[in-house]
Amino acid sequence: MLEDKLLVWKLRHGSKDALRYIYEKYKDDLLALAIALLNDAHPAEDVVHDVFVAFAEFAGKLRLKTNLKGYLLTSIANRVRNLRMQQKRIGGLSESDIADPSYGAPDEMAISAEQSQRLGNAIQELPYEQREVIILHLYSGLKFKAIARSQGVSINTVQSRYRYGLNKLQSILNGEVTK
Amino acid sequence: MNPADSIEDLIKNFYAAQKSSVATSAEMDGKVLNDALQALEKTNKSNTADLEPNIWRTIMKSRITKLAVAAVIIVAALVAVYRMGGSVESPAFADIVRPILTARTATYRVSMKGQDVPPDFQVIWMEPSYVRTEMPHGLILIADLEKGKALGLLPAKKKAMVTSISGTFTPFSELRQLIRDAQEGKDQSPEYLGKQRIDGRDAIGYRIPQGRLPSINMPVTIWADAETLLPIRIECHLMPRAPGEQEGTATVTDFQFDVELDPSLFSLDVPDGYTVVEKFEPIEMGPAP
Repeated sequence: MLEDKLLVWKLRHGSKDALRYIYEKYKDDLLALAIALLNDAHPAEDVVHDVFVAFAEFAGKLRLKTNLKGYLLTSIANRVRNLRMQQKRIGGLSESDIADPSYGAPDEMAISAEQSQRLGNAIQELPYEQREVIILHLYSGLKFKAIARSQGVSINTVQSRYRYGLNKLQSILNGEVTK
Repeated sequence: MNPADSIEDLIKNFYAAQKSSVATSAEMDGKVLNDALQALEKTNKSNTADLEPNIWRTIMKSRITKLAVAAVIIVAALVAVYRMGGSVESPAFADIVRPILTARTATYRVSMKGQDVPPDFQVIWMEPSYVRTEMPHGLILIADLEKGKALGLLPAKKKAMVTSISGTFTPFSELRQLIRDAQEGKDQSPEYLGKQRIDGRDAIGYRIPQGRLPSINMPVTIWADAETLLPIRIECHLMPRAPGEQEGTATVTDFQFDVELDPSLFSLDVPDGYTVVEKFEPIEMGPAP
């Protein structure tokens, strides 16, 4: 945390080294979140690119209300949401336009490949709002309060989306995936 | 384990596994860093170009100028505190404070913490309402607070900024009112803090609550030498006035009164050889008393 504060301070004063270090430190987390939200590696890379360039552009005006990692992760989620809205407006995306996962298959840390596939598919069946909350909370570790702030909704709404999402997942999996 | 816990753990494990297989490519790293560094460079250049006006606005909006005159007000307010409190017996007190009330000039140092301004700067004050603030990075700010005029100078770059100040700021009327109220026993708000060692000297302290000095509108603690009764330290707690604004403290020290000063230090005329920059918006200094 202190290291991040120092990095942000240096960045606000124009340090290129600080910018490079921040990117190296969080690039994989950002890309992983973008892929989780988009389920497609190519646009996910574009999202990380756009978010990080914008981050550099506004470095001098940066005022963090949360920690740096949370700020960047929230920026990714916001960018993905905007991207989806743009694509919906031009009719380029619907819930059925879900790409096959283009990242590598998860290893067998805790669940089998088949279970993983089922769970991955089930998550993609969730409405985006519910999926986003679940991913941001369980994957990125963001608190409901931070998610609510970034989405411009109440914390109750976020918690409801989370709860409905989990219930729906359980319903989809229907007990086939067990720990 | 209830079903919700189970599904949460399942999802966590699923994403932990997925995350372990995600890594940016060298091509992506190159592209992102190249574009981000270019953006940063552009921002740096822009910030440098805007440096002087930004400093100017920051100073004015951060209440530095108000604080500059506030220190003088507070010094004089000390008189009122003694008169009202009666906690300090000093037959010679009136004689001691008279130079403060009648001071034509004063100099002092202000140290800031927690505010987005240079941390330490020198202030020179001259009656009736001239203030000259010298910042460590070379910016000089001169203002006539009653007439609402101000001049910024950057001697190193030979640049000058002339601006008006919306709303005159005449805090001395507040001071006069404070003294009047104190003499009539209407104001009991300052709190006597007793004796303490301050900067290696025996000092007595008073705390003036927020609101009693509306022009600066912040709680103020005054420490004065226990023997001479001259102020040695004034601490102002800067309260946030808007969302996102930081709290901070300003400590005023190194007081000198009636120092011989050249009136030209407070001239609002642009010096010869300076380029005038006129990009500034009228600055809101505060309400007229």
